[in-house]
Amino acid sequence: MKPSIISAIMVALAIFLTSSITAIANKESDRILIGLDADISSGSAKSGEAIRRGAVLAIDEINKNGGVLGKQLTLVVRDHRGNPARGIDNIKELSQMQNLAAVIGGLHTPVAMAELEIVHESKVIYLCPWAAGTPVVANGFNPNYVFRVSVRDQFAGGFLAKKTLEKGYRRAALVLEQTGWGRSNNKAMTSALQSAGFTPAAVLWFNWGIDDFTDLILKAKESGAEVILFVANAPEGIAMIKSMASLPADQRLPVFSHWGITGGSFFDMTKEYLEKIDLVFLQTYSFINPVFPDRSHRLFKAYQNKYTDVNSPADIFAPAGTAHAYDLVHLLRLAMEQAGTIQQPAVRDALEKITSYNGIMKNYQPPFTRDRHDALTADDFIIARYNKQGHIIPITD
Amino acid sequence: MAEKKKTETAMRFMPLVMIKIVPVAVLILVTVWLAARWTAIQTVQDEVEKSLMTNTQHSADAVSDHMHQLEESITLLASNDLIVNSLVDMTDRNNYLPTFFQSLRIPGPENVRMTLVDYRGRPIVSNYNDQSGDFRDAPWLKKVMTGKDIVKFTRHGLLIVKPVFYFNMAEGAIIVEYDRKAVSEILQIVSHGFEHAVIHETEGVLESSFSESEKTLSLSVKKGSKWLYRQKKIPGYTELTLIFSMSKDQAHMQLDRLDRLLLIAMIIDLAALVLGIGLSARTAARPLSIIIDRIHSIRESRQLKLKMPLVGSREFQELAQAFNNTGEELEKTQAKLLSSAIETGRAQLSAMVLHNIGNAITPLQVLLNKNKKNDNQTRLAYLAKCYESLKDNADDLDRYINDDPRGAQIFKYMGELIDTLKTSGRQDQEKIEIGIDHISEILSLQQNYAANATELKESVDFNEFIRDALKMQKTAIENRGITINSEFSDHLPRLAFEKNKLMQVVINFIKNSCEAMDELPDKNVEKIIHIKTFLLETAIGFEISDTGIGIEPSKIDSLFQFGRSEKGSSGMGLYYSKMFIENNHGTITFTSPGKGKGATVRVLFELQEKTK
Repeated sequence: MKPSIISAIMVALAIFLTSSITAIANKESDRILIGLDADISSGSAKSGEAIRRGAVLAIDEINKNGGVLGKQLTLVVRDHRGNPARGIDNIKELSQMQNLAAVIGGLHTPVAMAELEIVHESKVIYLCPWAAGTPVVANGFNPNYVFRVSVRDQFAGGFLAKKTLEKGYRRAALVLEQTGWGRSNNKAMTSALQSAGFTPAAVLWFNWGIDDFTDLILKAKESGAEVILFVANAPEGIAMIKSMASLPADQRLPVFSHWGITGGSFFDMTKEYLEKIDLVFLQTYSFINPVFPDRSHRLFKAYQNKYTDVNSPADIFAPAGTAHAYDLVHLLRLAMEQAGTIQQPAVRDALEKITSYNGIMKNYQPPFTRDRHDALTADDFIIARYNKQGHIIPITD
Repeated sequence: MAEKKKTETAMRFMPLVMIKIVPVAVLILVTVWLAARWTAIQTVQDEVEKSLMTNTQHSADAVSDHMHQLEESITLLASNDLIVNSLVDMTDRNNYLPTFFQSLRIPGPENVRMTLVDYRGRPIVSNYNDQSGDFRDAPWLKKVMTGKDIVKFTRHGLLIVKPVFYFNMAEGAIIVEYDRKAVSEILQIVSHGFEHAVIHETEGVLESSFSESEKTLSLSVKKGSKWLYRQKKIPGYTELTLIFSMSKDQAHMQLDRLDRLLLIAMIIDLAALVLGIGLSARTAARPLSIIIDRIHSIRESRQLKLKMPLVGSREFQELAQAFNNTGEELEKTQAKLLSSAIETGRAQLSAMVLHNIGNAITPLQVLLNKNKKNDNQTRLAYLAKCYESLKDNADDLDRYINDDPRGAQIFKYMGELIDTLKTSGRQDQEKIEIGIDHISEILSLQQNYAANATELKESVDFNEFIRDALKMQKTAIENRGITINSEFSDHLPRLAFEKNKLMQVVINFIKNSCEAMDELPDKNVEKIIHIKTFLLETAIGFEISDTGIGIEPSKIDSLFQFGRSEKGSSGMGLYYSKMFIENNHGTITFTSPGKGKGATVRVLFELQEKTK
């Protein structure tokens, strides 16, 4: 073969490759990426999946309607397993992606708090559909890139404390995980109780990975507590319920739990014990008794079409995560549309300037302001419990 | 005195023991020692091998246990909820974790570096300050984050990595690093005097007590020429091989020590044996002494009735009892023999008497026959012829007597016949008288020495006694043409004997001398029996010498043994004679210059007090 022919072939091949890469690049640039950084595989994996489903349902709706700024939205999922180190790395990775519009976070407050620095350093919009730690939003960064449609512990602690008082309990023991989330709730719950003229009977801490709560329960009992205010995720929630159930009936205490326990396989792992325990927990949304039944029904239908494992609204696990993520993606869409760009500082500013949005959760008027990046308040919270099928049933009385 | 005797007996007994028992005992002891030594050496070798095997196994297990403990401690640390929580919570991580880490103590070596890293190998906290523990590029990181442990020995030390799990997933890791010195401490092996080494399959020698260089270590050991060794994979850590070894020289030193011990033990055993035998000999001396003395006494006195006292140990008592039983049986046998001998002697005497009487009667018969058949017939025939001649000439008797010469002859002859008949009658009378006298004498002698049922001792004149014996044997002596030379000592004292038995003895000696003549090959040799009696200061005796066939001196002792006779008889004569003489406080000696040179028997009897 002559050198000239080889050269020609090489040139043709180079031209082909260059054009292919350009085409791929153009295709990528046609998409707006939304990152999801949540626990997808660990103890609170169901929370991650619930969030993912909410985001996907919203993205599908948006894409179906032509996308944003003429571009389709794509969800890029990263699993942090509740591990802050993984979360930070995920944020770093996602922030390097072209056309990234925002990152949706997960259940874990500690991960979210660990990510704050890189989030703000990278100027990545961080949409928080679950992590309730007050400092996640009240983080001190200015401008603040974190926007939340979820519980704020500052409100949740007070809400749960108030609910115990409503049920006639006067002495509550706080059992909290030794994380920023736990500390956040300690502050909120203690403050709420003090506002009502009470103090915690005891404040008891535990670490992640604890597998036996017996000592803590007995200490709470010894302190004279009538009820436990519990702040934990699913793995520790499972351990608490098992320990409680193993105690004699007269040693057991009612548990008012934060919603972190619902983020994993809590029910599957505790269903045989739950009958013995008086357990209620915080929720923000239920497809069973929604605030806006039409919106809820529409979303349920979309959900049912997308995910065939659901037959009824009660089958939707961790509904709050799904609803929060759904609303957050739509709020992001509005912000991008208002900003006319996906540049995150501009979109961030736009998020603060959305005047109203009728979401699945509520009619946001406005959802966020310059000084308020939490879209929900205590008025949006409900109390729920598991029925025998594992459905989260709101308690209406 | 008794003690001295016992000692003498023991001293007499000791050489026997030393010569006959001790060598055998020593031989047995040495054989046993050699067998024990061989067994002991085999046992020691087996023990060394077994000890090597056991120690290798135990040490491998110990190292394994130690390693497992370390791992368990680190696993426990990795599952500590503060550690888990610190992966999640920055407050914990910043506020509590450094203090917690600084205060951590893992069982084992002090010099250990511990680091908590996140899932990417980035350090979260460590117990040392150089902060050099970045493990992001560690080749094992991915493996750890899939939940696997890392236990890795290197030339620099030991690395143990345990994942920190949250909800069954590895989210970080505890890394524990031991330097070489710490590894030596971990692998510290109680070697029980053996050389040992821990060899990693790729990193080589990790720990060794061998003096050889690492490079040649395994070769030296495994060559097997210099070393006994065992090797064992550390359970759970199969990349590690533990070698326990002992040089063969060292093993041999143990054997040498054992050998010396065995030798000392044998010498002590030997000394104890000799001492024991000596003591036993001394202990046995008393009963032995008694038994030996009693045996001598019985032998000297010929009193089998004497009983052996039942003294000493059971064995000696049984021996004495057996001896007594045997003595009783011997006594009975001896009595039977004596009875037989006496009967035999009597029979011999009777035969001898009858023979002598026969000898005396024979001339009478000859005389009668001669008278009857020859002379008297001739004389009667001639007398009848004279009678017929006279009858024929009765008519003319005068002429015939006076004139006829035959008549005159008849008268003359008749006169001579009458004279002859007178002389012959007188001679026959004399011969008959002599014969009858001889028979009477023999019968008288026999009557004199005839045994009674209860024979008593009688005073005996030796000279007369010997003469009587010769008379009794006269015919046998004369028939053989033997010349008797007698030499009788005067004034011999008399001694008391059972005469019949003594006569049997003396006749037995004379008879033996006569028979010794018969055996002479040269019939022309002069046959002489010399008999003499004599008196010594304390004894009286007689001696009978002959010029008979004699005997080889070497065979003399056997003459007196029961059942030994060259003549084909029972040999009881001399045996009985000796027994009789010794029972009467006498001695008998038999001498002969040799075959064909005659023999002498000499008998001495102690003079009895009364006699003295």
